This record gives sequence, C-alpha cells and structure tokens, in this order.
Amino acid sequence: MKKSNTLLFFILFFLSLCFILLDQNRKLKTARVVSFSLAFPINKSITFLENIFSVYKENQRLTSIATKLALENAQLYEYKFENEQLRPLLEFKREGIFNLLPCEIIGKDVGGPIRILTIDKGFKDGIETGMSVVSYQGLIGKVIEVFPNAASVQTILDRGCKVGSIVKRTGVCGILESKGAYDLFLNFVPKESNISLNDEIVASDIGGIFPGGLKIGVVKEIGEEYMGLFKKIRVKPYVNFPKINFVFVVLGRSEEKLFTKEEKKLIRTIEAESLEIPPFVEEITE
Amino acid sequence: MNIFISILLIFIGLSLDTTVSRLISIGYVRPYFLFIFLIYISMDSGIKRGTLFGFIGGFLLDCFSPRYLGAQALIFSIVGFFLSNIANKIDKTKVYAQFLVLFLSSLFYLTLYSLIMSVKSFPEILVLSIIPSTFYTGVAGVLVFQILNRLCQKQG
Repeated sequence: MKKSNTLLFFILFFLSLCFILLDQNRKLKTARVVSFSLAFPINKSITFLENIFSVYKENQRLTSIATKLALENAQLYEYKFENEQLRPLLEFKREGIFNLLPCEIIGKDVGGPIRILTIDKGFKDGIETGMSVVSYQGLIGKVIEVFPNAASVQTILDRGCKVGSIVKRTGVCGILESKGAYDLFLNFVPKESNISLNDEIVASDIGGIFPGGLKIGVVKEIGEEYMGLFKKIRVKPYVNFPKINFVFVVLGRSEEKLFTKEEKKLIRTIEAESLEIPPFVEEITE
Repeated sequence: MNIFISILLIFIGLSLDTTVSRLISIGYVRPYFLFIFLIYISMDSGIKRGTLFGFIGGFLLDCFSPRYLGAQALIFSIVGFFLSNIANKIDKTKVYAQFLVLFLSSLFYLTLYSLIMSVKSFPEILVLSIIPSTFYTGVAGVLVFQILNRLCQKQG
C-alpha cells in the first residue's frame, strides 16, 4: 500500500470528522449554506425529473381528492353560513384561516426513519424557524433551519420533536414523541384514561406551534408502564414518509375572507362534474 | 475506468437514488444506487480514486440530506478505501462475490449511519429497514454490476 494513499485516506477521514463535529456545534452554518446553494440546482433538476415520472398518477389522485373536497367544501360552506350567524350571539372571537405555502421535498434522510426533510423554499419565501409543516395526510413536523432557497424540516419521527396531542374520541391529552424509530409514543396519559385501539390522535393547540385538530395517527398498541402512573401508547402515523413529495408550510393565519368570484366559479365547475351534488350547493354558491 | 465515466456514474447514481429508488421502495426498504456505483468505482479504479470518489459521493449525499454534514462522506471514504485495497483479492466476475461485497458494505454503511443518528432505536431500525435494504441493495447491485461489466467489456 502506498503511503500517499494512506495519507489521502486519513486526510479525508479527519476532514469528515471535522464536518460532523463542527456541524453539531452549528459553527459550520456558512459551509452548509454554500453546499446547499451549490447542490440546489442539481437537486431541483433531479426532483423535476422525478415529478415527470409521477405526474400522471399524481394528477389522477389529485383530481379524485379535489372532487371529494368540493363536496366536503359545499357542506362546510353551509356550516360556515350557520357559524357566521351564531358566532355574534355567543360573542366568540373570529379565527383566521391558515396561509399555506406549497413546497417540494428535495432531500430526505437515508437509512431508516425519515427524521429530516429538505424543502425547496427558504427565508426568501417567508419561511421562518418553528413554522409547522403539514401534508394532506396529516402533520409532518416543523421547520428547524432556514436557508435562502431551502429549509430543513424536523419530522415527527425525530426524537427531538414533541407534539401536544389529543385523543379525538375522548379528549385525553398527552405529549406525542418518537423514540427515533417508525412509530410514535403518546406519553403522560394517566392509567385510568379512556383510550382504545384505533383511536385517532390529533394535534393540540396548546404550545402554539402546530395547528390544532390536525390528524397525526392512530393508536396501535396500549400497554402500561411497570410501576408507573401512565399508559404506554404506541401510535402509527398517518403520513407515509418515504412516499411524500409535496408538503405545505403553515405561514400563519390571515383574515378570513369570503370566496372571490374566480374561486366560486372554480368550485361550481368541480361540483358540477361530480355526481353527488348536495341540494343546497346551488343555493349557497349563488 | 475513465475518470469522466466515474463522474458520470456518480451523477447517475445520485439521480437514481432520488428518482427510481423512491419509486421502487417498499416502505422504508430501498436500494442505494449511488453506494452501488461507488463500490463499483472503488473495485475498478484503485485506492486513490476509490477513496476520493467515496468522499465526494458521500459529501454530495450529505448535502441532500443535511443531518450531520460529513457522516456519509466519512463512511463512504472508509468503504472506498478498504474495498479498493482488497479489490485484487476478489473475483469480481462471480455473482456470489459481488453480492457478498455489496451486502457487507451496505450493512456497514447503514449500520454505522443509523448508529450516528440514533443509538436507542437501532435494534428496531436494524430489523425493519437496514437488513431488508441491505438485501435489496445486494440484489439490485448485482444487476447493476452485470450491466456495467458488459458495458466496460464492450468499451474495452
């Protein structure tokens, strides 16, 4: 073995070690921004190629979702109408609707659970650290690091990510966290709490990070801590992390507004295409 | 092997990892194409190029999944260095030898990477993801090796 080869190996070995150690102390932020900026065009073009492969399937799936949502939307529109009338009677404060920023995933963790995602939008698009990230399947996680054109998202599968959660059926609260593997654990739930298998777990508003009511997963296993006060609840997340390609960053709430003319027209078109149009749709959209 | 072909293989591996690999994944189980190409380069191009390309390929992957920048660069450099050192002792034309090299190397890569990420959940990840992915990478790698060997023979 040549000495120069061994020397090269040790140089690269220690260089990699330096990267790992400095990265932990967050002193390598500049280098990461540079590497991100360099990798960004390659990453973006590779994702573009991937999207070409999946665009037809994705289009079919989205059309089916859009149809279902149009019907659901029509129903919700009626509830909204009722809500508008009842709210002043109860003197409830009006809450704004969420502003969502659609993002493409350009990087994922390898070897095991996906704990970190990289998305193609950064602080230039208004993303800030701590913002929550969602998908149509449920809660994804939160933004932990922001670059000019990209951001890192810590998923709920990461050990550091804790989510205040509620059992939807009974309202029992707990803290949902991962042990670094594929399932989540609902902690601090008293032994006497009413929880059964397949109960749905949703995010709680407490803590103010994640949007309340957003679905997270379903109870898969219930046990009891040995000599403890709490239950051991294993939760299977709804989100299929290896397969997701698009997510939404919750930028915050904005003032609620009625639909614009274009939006009404679009809703009417989608509704007309579906077969099961509830009778009240025409009245409401008019 | 020509250096330009090595660079091209790295980019093909990276593209396959982010496109085809996701499409043919079964849950968390998937083949690691860039790693397969790096093993091929290491076994074919000598110690210097094997180590250097290992580092570059690993660093590129680190940029795409930026958790502990340098973790994959470190593992790939080690794999590149050791494989290129023992390349002469392995019969690269035999399928079982190819599978064994791919299996053991990817087991080392995924085990070490998962340990760097999380020690506590390692047993569960080992059973559910690492071992099945290692098999998958081994089988996919043998196919890739056969294709590359034929292409190189034609070129030669």
